[in-house]
Amino acid sequence: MAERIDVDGEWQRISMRYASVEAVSTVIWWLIVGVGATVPIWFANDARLPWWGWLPLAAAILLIVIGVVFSVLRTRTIGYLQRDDDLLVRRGMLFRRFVAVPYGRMQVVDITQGPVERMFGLKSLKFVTAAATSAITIPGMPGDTAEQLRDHLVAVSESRRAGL
Amino acid sequence: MQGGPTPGMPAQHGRPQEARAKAAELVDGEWHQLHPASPLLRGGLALIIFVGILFSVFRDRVIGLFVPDEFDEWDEDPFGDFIVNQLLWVILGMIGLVLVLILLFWIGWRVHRFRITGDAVEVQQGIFVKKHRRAPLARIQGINIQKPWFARLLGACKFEIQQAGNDSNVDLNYLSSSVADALRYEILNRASGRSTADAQRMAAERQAAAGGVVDEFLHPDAEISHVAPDSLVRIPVGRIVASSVLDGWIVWAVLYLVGTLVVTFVFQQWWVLFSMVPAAIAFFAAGMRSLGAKLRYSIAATPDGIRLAYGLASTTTEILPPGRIFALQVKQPLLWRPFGWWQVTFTRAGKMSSDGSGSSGQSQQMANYLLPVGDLRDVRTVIGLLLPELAHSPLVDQGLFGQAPDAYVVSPPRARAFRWFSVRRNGFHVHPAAFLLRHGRIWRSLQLVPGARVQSVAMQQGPIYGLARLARVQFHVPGSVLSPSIGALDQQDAATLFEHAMRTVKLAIDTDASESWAASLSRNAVLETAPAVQDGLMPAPQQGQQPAPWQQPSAPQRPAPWQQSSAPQQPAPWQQPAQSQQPPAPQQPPAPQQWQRPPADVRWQPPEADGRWQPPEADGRWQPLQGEDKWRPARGEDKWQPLEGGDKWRPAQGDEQWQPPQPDPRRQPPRDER
Repeated sequence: MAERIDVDGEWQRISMRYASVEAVSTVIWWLIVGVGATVPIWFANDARLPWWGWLPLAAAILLIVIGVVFSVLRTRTIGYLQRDDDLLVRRGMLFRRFVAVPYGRMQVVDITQGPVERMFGLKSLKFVTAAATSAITIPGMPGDTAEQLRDHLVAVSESRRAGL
Repeated sequence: MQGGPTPGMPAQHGRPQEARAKAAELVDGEWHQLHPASPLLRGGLALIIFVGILFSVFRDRVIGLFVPDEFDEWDEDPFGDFIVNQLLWVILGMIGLVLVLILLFWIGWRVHRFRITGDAVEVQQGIFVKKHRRAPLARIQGINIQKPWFARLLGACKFEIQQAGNDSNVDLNYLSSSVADALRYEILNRASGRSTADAQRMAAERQAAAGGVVDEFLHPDAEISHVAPDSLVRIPVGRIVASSVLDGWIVWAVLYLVGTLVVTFVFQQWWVLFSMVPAAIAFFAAGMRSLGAKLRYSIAATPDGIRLAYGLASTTTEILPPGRIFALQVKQPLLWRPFGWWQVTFTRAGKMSSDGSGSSGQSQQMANYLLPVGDLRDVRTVIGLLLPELAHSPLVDQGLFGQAPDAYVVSPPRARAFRWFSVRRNGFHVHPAAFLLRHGRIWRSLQLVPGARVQSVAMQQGPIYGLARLARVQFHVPGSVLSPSIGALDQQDAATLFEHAMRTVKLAIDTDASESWAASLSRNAVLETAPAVQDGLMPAPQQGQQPAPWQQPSAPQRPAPWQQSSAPQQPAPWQQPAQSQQPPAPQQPPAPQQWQRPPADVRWQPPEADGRWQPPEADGRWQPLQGEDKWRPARGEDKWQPLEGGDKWRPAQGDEQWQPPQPDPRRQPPRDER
């Protein structure tokens, strides 16, 4: 296979614990779907499960396995790179996407933390520019990294504030 | 500007003076009320209509009261009987209701106030729920004056200050028409960072030119037409009608009509004909509305930005300060091609508010056209207003008509599967002022994204593009009208464009001064270019002339010299070689360095001048002035000549729109900084 697009640099990877966050979300989601599909079958067959009644659950478990593998792979592809004038964020292996945001263009830097992320001690950093299409997030920032990076970015973008 | 009264415009000294005095009163930083008719226009109209309906329903009964014996058959109408029997109470109740409503409207009008301070416009409103909105002047995206036909009758207009973001506009609905225009100038004056003396002088000139409100119904933009030349483009009515007919949906309407007729006659289902009536009415109404919005379109350059005016019955004049247009698209619907017509749309940060008061549909639709329809010369004029650097450039021609061997980097031949017909046309060019993205061979279009307005850049590649080693580059700009992007590029080209875009954007941001535009010379450059553009004189595209040193038109399979297999460990080849011409380091590394995991020395390392990449300013477009830490367009032509003073510039030929430059606009901050 041909070489794919890439940008050289010392990319900062996000924490691999984020794979666990993704995996937990995947497991919860597909369990809900699988059980939700199984229960009606169970009721419809007088509280007994025919052999094919296990199929949705099996499919869900298969999807969970795939999802967990993919969450590991996906987490490995997410990274960011601080350059002199812009912040570069990448994600995706199959669908690759690189976004570069000049520091002066950042309007808002958000830190969010969902319940699962909190279990693993991770935070997400979200950037907003004046363009709605360029909303980007860096998930899986461990510990204080998110705050440090945010403070740094805010300071830099304040010194380079460049209107719209 | 030493021009006398504009020809054909009767001199009226009284009204503009008065209006300006009133406007100056409005911007004194105190709270002011809106136009007294505002409640009526904002919601009171519904009340009148309600009363009117009530009256028309009971008209016959009321007549019957006074003219008895005419109508007797009201027996089966208990509700009406009740009303007639309790007429006194009903009338009293209605009067009371109306009084309460009037009182509410009046209080609402009293508490709806605005004030204009040195750096912001503030609006307060609300009786029970207070609302206070503050708009910084530096972030104004444009000021609209809309005159719906009903408001025009009362001498009022809507005054909309556009801000970036969704639903963040500041509306002063309604203001008196006579004041609105002068007020707009006052606000734009403050936003522009113009010095007070300069503003006074300009205002005096405006008065001397004596426009005034001459005939509002015939000249929607008469109040300001004396500041700037008349519209730079003339669009004949016939062309507007014909282009509307040929533009897309009317064709579909005709197809629908024909299809329905065929169905009717083939299946002998005559009732189908009746289903066409509502559709026809809808089509007709939509067509008339869009036509009405396109008619009497004018665009001109004023010292405060591009002025658009349009509308037949309900008019809108709009001033977009420089730097508030984020992207342009020049496109040509297929059916326009025989006539050589083009359409220019643009995207902006603000959003037209739609408060359901009649003309919102029109303004929303219209707000995106910079040129509803026009020929090549008009397109060049409009582009020149926005990007003067490109006004005479062959890049525009190549972008509109050109094909592969030219200044544009196009898709590789293997991208034919993705761009069947346009593989040799689909491409981009990086100009120091803007990115030019060229699309389509059947539906031609050209997108221009000023570098200083790009918010962020994305490069993406899906699995199928990955197999073909192609990629897409996207430029993120505010607004939802345009999303400039170019796909099916060779991934090397895309990566280079991506890297290079960030360099260009950085440079453009550093040299951009549109936030307080009077402090920069770009404004005057626009004014000075506009008439020249209109002459339609532009150099023919030449093959030998390379617009940028890093692009060679020849050898499409090896598009550019900057591409030659840079060793990956080398510090990026797009970084500029150290040159004496470089701007005095606008990009210092950020001071707070606590966040820097990789050592700082590997970041910014100007490689030795290997001739691979030359920065855009090497081609003579930008030259540093001696002893100054800013950049100005040198504009290789003979239009700008340095005076003896050294730091002052003046156009060579006397130009009407030219104002002699103030000593140094940036060194003296025009208004007290916030």
